[in-house]
Amino acid sequence: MMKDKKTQDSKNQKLECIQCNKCMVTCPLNKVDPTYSPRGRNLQLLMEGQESFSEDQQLYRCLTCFQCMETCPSNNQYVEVVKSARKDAHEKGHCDECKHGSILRSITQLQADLNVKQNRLEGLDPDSYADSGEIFYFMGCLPIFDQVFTHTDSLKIAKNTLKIFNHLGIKPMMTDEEKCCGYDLLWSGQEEYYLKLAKSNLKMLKDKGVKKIVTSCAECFITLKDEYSKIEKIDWEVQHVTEFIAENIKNGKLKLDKEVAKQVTYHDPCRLGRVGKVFDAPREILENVPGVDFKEMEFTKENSACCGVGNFSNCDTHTKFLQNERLLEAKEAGAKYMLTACPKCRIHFNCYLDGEPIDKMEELEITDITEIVAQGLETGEDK
Amino acid sequence: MDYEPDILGLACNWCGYAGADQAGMNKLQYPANIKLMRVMCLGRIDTTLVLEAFRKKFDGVMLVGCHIGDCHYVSGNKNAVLVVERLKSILSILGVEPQRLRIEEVSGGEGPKFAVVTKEFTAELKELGPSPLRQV
Repeated sequence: MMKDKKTQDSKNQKLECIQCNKCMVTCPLNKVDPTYSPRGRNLQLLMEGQESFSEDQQLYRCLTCFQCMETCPSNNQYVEVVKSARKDAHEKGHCDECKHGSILRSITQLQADLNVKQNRLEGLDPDSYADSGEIFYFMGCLPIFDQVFTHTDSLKIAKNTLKIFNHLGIKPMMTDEEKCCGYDLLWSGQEEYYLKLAKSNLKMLKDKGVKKIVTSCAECFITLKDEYSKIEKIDWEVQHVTEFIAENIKNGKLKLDKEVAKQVTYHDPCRLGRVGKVFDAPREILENVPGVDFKEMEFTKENSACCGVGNFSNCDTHTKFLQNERLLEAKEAGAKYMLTACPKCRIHFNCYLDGEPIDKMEELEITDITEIVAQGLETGEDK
Repeated sequence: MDYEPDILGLACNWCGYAGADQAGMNKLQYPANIKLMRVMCLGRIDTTLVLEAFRKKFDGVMLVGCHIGDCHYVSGNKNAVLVVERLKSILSILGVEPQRLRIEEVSGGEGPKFAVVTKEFTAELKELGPSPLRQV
């Protein structure tokens, strides 16, 4: 007997699990640490109850990559159960530990509390964006990542995206009032702060009369699209930058003429791929960049492996093994550049490469897909 | 103007705190706005600690440590300088004035210097006004 697919009541969840172990096979964490499995956690929920499930530190180990939900024959919403359990646990005073001394969490919480003019557009060319318009470019936490993870140069993603916008003759709207979308706080259970951020963003977007939002980050994309609509009815369209570029290539507005002779592969971020179902747009883009030699990895699309870290909280040795495996896949595919469409995946993989990789990964570079597109623009300068 | 800024002073055990101690022993006047917190070394200060202080509605944060090269643990204060640099750029992105954070070198014998920098910082914060987080 199938229950309603959309149900989020954890009491119904345990009835749906048939203990078939399919999730255990696909769970990325289980591959490196056999003590963790979604099935086992479901069994714990079934046998020992909600309290035991929520108070176990295992709760924060789930990468929330949605891999288990892809294969589940009874459509069990395991990740949603984890999300609501984290919310309960936070209300009882439990919380996950954000890595990097929880700096990113402090920054986002500070952003939620603050009500002053920010300087987030400082590093960008003031001629490349406008104060008003119909298309809003939501760049998310890129300026903050740029400062926290200095070696990754995250602001380059925003610069390249603006370059593409300007090439199309569009000056997207950008504002200092934009705040973090609140994704990390939502998925670590701190809903009060998430709601503060979300409401502030919703008010800002409404006041500006936005018609379309383009995001650089896969996580902003899914939060703005799916989560914000749960708070309020939204009357704008949300697009990820890959969708926007693919659309403009299709209707002939964006022409990529310059040769970019690079061997690339594409890593599907969880939120853009499995959750947002945007699989084709990035591939269409790569087919249209002249000279690009695009090679698929072994696990792609729905089966794409996770980068190993969820909301900056569960980075450990297991993560490093997962990242190593993924990068080896890219290497085996013969790629010199592994492209992704999520700044966070980019940071995590770059962090691994800058450390001490288990296997040698010479010549492999992790970049954002917009960088290749910007290089393919006729007027685009070389680097 | 009857606004009095709240300052968190993070002083290292070997120099900053000893300097403040000496200022007290010499009966030097310095503003009572500063609340001193002793840490073993400024190398212990991480970005989160300072951001949390701002979240707890402090108007300014001052790190007081050894002179560069005199750190009891070799390089703790060098790390602190890097942390402060990074924090200033983060604060400025968030819209909090970066002047609200400062790092000072006060050795154990420099009681008068401690009194001077505290006075200076308090005056500067008075001019800046309350922290944006206090106005909420």
